[in-house]
Amino acid sequence: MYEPVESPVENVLHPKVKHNPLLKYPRIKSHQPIGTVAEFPYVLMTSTVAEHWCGGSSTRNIPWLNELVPEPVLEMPESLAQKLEVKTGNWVKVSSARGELTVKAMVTPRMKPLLADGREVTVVWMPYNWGYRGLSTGPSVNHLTIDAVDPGAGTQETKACLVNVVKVHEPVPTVPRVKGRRS
Amino acid sequence: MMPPATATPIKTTLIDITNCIGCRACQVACKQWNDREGEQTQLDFNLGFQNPATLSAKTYTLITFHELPDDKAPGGLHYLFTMRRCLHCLEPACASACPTTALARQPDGPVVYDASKCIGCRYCIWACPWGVPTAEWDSLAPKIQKCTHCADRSDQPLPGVRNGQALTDEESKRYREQIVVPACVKACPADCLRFGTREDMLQEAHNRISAHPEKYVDHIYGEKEAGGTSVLYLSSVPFDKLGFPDVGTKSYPALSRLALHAVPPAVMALGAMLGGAYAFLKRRASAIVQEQAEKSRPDDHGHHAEFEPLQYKLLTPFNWMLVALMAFGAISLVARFALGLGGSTHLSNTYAWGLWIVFDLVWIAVAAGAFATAGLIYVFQRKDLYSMGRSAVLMGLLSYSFVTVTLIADLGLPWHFYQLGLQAPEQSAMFEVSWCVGLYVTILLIEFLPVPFERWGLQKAMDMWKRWSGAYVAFALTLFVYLLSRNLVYAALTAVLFSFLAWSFRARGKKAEPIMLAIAAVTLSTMHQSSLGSLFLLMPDKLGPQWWSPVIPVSFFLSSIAAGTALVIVVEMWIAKAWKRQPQITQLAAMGEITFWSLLVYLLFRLGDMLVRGQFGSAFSGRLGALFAAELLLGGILPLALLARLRLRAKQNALFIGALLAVLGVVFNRVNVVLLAMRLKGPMPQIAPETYSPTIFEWGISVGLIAATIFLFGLGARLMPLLPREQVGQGD
Repeated sequence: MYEPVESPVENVLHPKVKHNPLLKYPRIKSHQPIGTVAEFPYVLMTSTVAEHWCGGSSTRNIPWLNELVPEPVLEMPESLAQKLEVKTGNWVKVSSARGELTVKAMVTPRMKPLLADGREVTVVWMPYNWGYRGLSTGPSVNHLTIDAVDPGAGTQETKACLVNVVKVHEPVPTVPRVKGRRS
Repeated sequence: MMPPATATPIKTTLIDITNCIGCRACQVACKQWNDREGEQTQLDFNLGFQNPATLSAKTYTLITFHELPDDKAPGGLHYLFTMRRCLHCLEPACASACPTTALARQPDGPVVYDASKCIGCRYCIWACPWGVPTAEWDSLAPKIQKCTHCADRSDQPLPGVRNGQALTDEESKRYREQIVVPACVKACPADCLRFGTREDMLQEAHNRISAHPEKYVDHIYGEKEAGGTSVLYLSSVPFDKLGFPDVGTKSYPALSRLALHAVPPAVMALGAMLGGAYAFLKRRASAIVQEQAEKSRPDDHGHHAEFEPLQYKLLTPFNWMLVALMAFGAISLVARFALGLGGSTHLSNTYAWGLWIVFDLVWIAVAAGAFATAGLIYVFQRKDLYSMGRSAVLMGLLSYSFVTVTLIADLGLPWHFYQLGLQAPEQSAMFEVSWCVGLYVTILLIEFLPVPFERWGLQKAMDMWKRWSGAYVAFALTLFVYLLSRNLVYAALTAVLFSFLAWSFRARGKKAEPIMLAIAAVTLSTMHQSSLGSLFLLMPDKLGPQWWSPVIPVSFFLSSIAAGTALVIVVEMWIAKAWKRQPQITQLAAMGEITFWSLLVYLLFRLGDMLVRGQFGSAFSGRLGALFAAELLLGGILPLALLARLRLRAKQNALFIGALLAVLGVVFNRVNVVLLAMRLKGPMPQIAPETYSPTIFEWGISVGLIAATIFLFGLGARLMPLLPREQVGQGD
């Protein structure tokens, strides 16, 4: 059991071995920065939404599915929202050691801060189904995620990385747009 | 109320909310089967991932998301998903509202829509207590849209073969059971939706509740709601926590059915009463006249005044202003059809009706002066008011005609108007009003015709008029009664009654009285003035309790007499001032007395009704209470005080202000009923009501038509002998 490359905590199970010892990351030092918890204090979790498939290249071209989930959001716990003075629907800038994007915040009681290694770990979530082409476009979360891979299976570590979240007052040009059949 | 007995089993969907996983396959399957476009929205973040917020013409079915705090649930939250769609009432309010049966309930349950019959009046949107029907606001021909329970899936041909092999009967049956279900039921992967007969589904629901009383609340939403629906819900939490409205268990159409089924007998009763009153009063009046005649001049005209056209030039600055407003109105009318209803107005699924309906209701109420005056002069032999008759009738004719024009603008599909003649709705107040107003416009026109005939010396036409107007009345009322009752016995009785009256009161000699027209005017007006109130019988859930009442039709009728007679006073005094004529203060004061009594009766009736229904407790609290108090005080008590005593009434200022307040009070009442006192919640799930402020085009058409009325009235007074000849000869 190992911690991901970017993790806010030490490995509680195996304190001496934080990461997989066979892991090679960064593979190219100049292009694969690793964020620190001081700079990027929150954990970003990514996943799909049921209504879109993978990067959304097929599903985001179906107006009926775009209706169900028209845009990506950053889901965050109420405690973080309170700290950042963010309300549901506000724009936030999410940044990691690799990139940044702006997205609307969705503050929910569903997300709860975790207690790990004796400290509170705040997790935020964003779906990975958006991109720059299609009837509904939005920022791709893979601007933030890390491309470390499991040395055994080659699976990416896109499920977990470190990010920072700040409130911004206007969306930057990558506003998610929803287009569909004109009526 | 028991569901209507039907031979066919009622198709029913059972929705078990506890099974729903929120996948929204039903929402997409519904769009696919019904060929609805995807909505282009952004997330409403207060609703979580629910999208869109409400039903619309593009969305028949919607899953709403609910996060309820629950200590026992993991994370302290109970996540519930609820399917929102038409409940297909056993006695649907929307179908009972529809004047053309475009919305109708099939005997096997589904409430379906036929666009080819729809005139686009949008009454159904306001009639439904759940806010299910919606209109296509972005279309130039806005149809109504709603869930049809996939009634059209059952007539799709099923394949007889599979993989080249003919299906056995058993297979066909199984195939049919799996395919001929609503698209949403077909798509549901979680066994949240079940489809079958209402009996079976109710049984299933009861079984589930009794098998797991810890899991379900003991309430099947739809079993009794609004008289029962053919979509049933089971839930683990009380339904009000999920935003389901408490609509009561009474069927909505029951009240309007009662009011509308009273119309045909009322026409006959009223006609007979008016005929009787006339015969009696006429005999008494002619006895008096004879007495007087023996005393004095032999061929006295009674109180008949002489009329003459005005001798003013037409294009005064005021009239230029009216012309400008009319041009504005014409541009607005063009814009209305060029941009469509949604493009030119701020009407919405929440405010399906707006300024134009207020305008129609107000105008019809204040135009009641025409029938009240005609009734007073002829039926009740108040010959002292004769000098006001012609102007009152022209005012009525113009007002009603322009109400019709407004309706053409207001209807979404006005070119389907002929469907009103082809369809036979059972209990639609809108149908009653349409026919009644239409026929009354013809009566008003015929009432007014003698004036142009006299002006241009059309003696032959005049003779025709004398001979046939009575017969036309008998025809019109018979037609009306037949359309409303679809009962040949009623129609025959009406025909006999009014033919008899027409024959008894036929023109003898030179001086014919348009008594049949007056009777028709009073009868038809009584019916549609009250039916305009009946429109709101279907909205007890929306209209404030100070206004809504099962007897609102009577209130509407009584208030229209007060408003109509008061407006006659206001207009007569305005005419006198504008054209520097002597106001006929005796007649006007007499009219003021009539206004006083009708206003008093109206207010006593309304307050008495509130007292009986125990509505006084909170009648004056809150915003609605303030509106009610203002209406009562400024439009009721104040004018009553001003008009009560002859000493005050005979003073021009007091009479004018009293009459004006009486008119404005009723106007305010109609504004309240249509807009201010309505608690509109918008389309299902009634969480996002839109707001409303009329657009410039909505104002344009309304203001333009008011200007047209005033202008044409002035034109008429100049061209035709409309106003009585001045006694002293001034004003030339």
